[in-house]
Amino acid sequence: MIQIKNLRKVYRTEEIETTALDHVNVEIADGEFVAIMGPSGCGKSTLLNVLGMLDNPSTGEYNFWGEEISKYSERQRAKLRKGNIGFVFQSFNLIDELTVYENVELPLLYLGKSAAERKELVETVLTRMNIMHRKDHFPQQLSGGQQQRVAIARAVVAKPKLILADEPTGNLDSTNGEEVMKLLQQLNEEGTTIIMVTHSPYDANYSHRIINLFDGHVVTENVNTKFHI
Amino acid sequence: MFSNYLKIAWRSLWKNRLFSAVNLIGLALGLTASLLILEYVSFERSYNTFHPKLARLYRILMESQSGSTQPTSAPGVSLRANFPEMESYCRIAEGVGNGIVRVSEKTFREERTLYADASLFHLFQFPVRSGVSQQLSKPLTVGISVREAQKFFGTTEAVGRQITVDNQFGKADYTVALVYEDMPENSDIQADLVFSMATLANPSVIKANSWVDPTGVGAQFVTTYVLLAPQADAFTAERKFNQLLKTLPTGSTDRIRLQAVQYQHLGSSLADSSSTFGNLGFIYLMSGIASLILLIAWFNYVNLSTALVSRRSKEVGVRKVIGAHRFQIIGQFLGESVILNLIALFLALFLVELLQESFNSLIQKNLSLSVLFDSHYWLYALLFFGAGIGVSGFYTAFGLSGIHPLISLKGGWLKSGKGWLRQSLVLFQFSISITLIAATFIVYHQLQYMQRQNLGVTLQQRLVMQGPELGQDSTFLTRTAGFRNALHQLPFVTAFSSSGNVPGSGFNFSTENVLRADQSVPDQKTSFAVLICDDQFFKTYDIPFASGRDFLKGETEKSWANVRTLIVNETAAATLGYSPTAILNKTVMFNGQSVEVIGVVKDYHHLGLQQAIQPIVYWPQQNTTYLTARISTDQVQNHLQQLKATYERYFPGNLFSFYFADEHYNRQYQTEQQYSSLFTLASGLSIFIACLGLLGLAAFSAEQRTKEIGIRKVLGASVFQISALLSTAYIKLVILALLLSIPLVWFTMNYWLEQFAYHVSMRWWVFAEAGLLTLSIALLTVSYQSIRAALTNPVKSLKSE
Repeated sequence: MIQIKNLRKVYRTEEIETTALDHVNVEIADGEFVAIMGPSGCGKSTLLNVLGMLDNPSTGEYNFWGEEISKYSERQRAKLRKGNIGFVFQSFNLIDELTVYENVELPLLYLGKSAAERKELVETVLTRMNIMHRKDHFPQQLSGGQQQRVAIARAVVAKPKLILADEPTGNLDSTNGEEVMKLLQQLNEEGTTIIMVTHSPYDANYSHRIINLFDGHVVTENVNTKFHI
Repeated sequence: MFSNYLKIAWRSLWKNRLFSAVNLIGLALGLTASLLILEYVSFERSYNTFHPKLARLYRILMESQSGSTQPTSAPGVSLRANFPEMESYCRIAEGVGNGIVRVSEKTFREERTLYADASLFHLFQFPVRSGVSQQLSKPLTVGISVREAQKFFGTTEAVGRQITVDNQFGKADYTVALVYEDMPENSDIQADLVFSMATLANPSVIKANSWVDPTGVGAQFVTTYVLLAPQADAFTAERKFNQLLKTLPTGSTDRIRLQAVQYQHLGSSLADSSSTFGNLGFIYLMSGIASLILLIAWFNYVNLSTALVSRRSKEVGVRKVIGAHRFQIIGQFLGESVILNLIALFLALFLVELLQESFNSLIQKNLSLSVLFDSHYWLYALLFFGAGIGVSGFYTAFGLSGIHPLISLKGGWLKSGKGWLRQSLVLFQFSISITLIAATFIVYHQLQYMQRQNLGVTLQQRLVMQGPELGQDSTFLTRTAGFRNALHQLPFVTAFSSSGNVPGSGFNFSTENVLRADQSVPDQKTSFAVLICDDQFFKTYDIPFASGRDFLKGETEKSWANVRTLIVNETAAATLGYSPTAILNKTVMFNGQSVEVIGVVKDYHHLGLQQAIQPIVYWPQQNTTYLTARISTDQVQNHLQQLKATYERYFPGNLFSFYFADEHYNRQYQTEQQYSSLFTLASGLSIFIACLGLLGLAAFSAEQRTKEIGIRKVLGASVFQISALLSTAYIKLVILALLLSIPLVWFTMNYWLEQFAYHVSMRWWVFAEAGLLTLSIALLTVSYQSIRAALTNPVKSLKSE
């Protein structure tokens, strides 16, 4: 599904140049659940952003479903992103002014789905995430766990092939965190590819494979032996 | 998608209530002011536009060598005969027919009258309800408005009926030839009664008033309008008219100027009096003020919207990440701008309804929102409004939608240095506010100066009565003497005078024909004002003599042709080349009549301080147009009753009307008073809206610097130090705005002051006053937020980060 070769990402300011990713090579197969780990500032989130087409690499190749996209413009990336990739953030990133239902409905609106189709898809995913009873609430009226369930619902409602999760349990207590991880695991079992950045070895154990980054380099890439704890 | 935008727009407005309120109040007030002003501008612009032949209608003015212009009657007649391309003409004499109208037993004073040719209804096409306009070409016929027909006869079926008119030409019966629809308010020609011009050509009607014969050359009280043939070019016509004029035996060196009727209402280039004419400068001023106030409100919107970007930027990031196109984001923010502006517009419409009456009384017009559609100005206004929404909305929308989603998600734009824009906009807002405040002070000072200036004449306790218009028969002189004696018997009347005009109202006429005995040709650049008065005029008004003596009673009782003495003011003596003492007993030629100067009165302000003191010639004559009584002011109502009873006893049938000279004199400053009120309102509004914006920005700034405030407090900063830290930036801006506004105020207000012959000088402290006032208001506004932020528990400040 994804092939990255010699990928570099360099941030420049007037005075300093910081290499966030340095000759990274990664391959991710369709249906995989991959965890990316490493200390703060090692380039985890940068890699996730590049994988999620939110950012372009400075150099190197990025092949997504057979398409070389490393030189794509923001407009081209946005087009490819839409409907293909779902995002889950540590800080949920729900729109405060929209209700649970409206937040989840948003990707479908941008995809131009009909009202009836939207209603069916949103209600299905909300029921599945066990948050249907809160559909008319605003994000700030929900607990952290509930907010993350809504964020996951929003990420999956358009049935994307890939879900990118940036520390999805980072703002949650252990009970809610585990609930979220189980949801991601379930989605993966149903065929969705998941790439997750995490600090937590416990959460990483839900994945098939763990990629360890350090100072922008991939230092280890192991099949997770404790899979399905 | 649209409903989603609406929803989020509404919820976002509600969530940021303070900012929304600031924006809404500012925009609504700005729009209210703009709408009210636009009504006025639109109304003024709509003048005369309803005439179907407007493009071919011109007013004839005679331009003297000195460059002054005045209407005239002569060319119309002569040119019509000599210049067939001129389709038609119409002579109009305003006001000379004013007087008393009697219908059956009812009496009415009529002040809106015209003498006009029957072609009036052909040139201007005021709709005729009944009757035929051609009938108005006969002497002693009259056209009356529907309103007057109802008033006189209780019906509009008035054609063929008779009214008795008693005016300066005596009593005459007129037959109603037609009834026309009431003239629209936006017409420069205003009349309830249109007497036939042919009446004035009839010697038996005008009797001894030969000056009024409209066929006479250069009758200044008549305005001639011409209707050019469809193919005629005005410039060519004007040239041909002048060529023809030179061949006519008028002897005048004046030249004809054609002024298009469509531009005459606001046509300041060819100045000439008409009570209905507007002031183009005032229109520009009003439009400018309206636009500036609205700009200040829109700048608040841009300022607060960009300030709020950090709050909204995460939302934009999320939308982009989950698939929103840039144009969808632009549409959303533009939509919010439109919604906010539309809500403000509805609020403004409500406020306009509420304030309409007060505004109308301020500008003395009867306006309403429907006036907006009387000219095409509403279209400009709509474009301006649309552009305002567009630019203010687009700026935020484009800015936000263009940010990279990763930056947006981190609360992006704020850190990308848009502070300079906010500061520039605040700077602009306060520069405008300070300019308006300083202008308000200057207008106020000038008004005070004019009202408090020693005029050289005493107007307090002078009651001016309108002289009798009815009953000027053989007993009139006896009755006038009786009235005078009766007033002297009243203990509260300490002086009494009759005159052709009074201070604050004008003169009887003006002439260039006042010459030294050794001078043969008049200097066409000097005009003398002539005032007809009796031997009590100077005593009644306390006008002191510089030299010589007052008129004797006998001198004022001579017929016009036998007058041999006159009095002048100091300026007139100087104009003739004499000192006040040297001119005494000198003979001067007055319109060809040899007279001796017997006295010189000290210069005084006969008219308002806008105008320089003119050379004035006082002509001795018993003229009862105005009767002035000096009265004591205790028990005014009782005194007035006695005066009224005396007046009606000696002048039965005449209506007793009066005014106090000082109040009437101050009416000359009505325009300045309007300016003063307008500037006060505009400056108040602009500073209020600007401060609303400042309040929002200060709140935003305090919120943004919460962490910094916490750290500073932990390190030992006092509440005062924190407040000062937060307020300083704004105070610096206000000071800079003051510096920027100084040259603007200096230039514009000096120009304005120069329009007055007597004016205050601009002093530095006007700017100090305006600056201090603005600074105090701004300081009060920001200090609330600053002190609130400074008083917050530091732990809370640090936690919030």
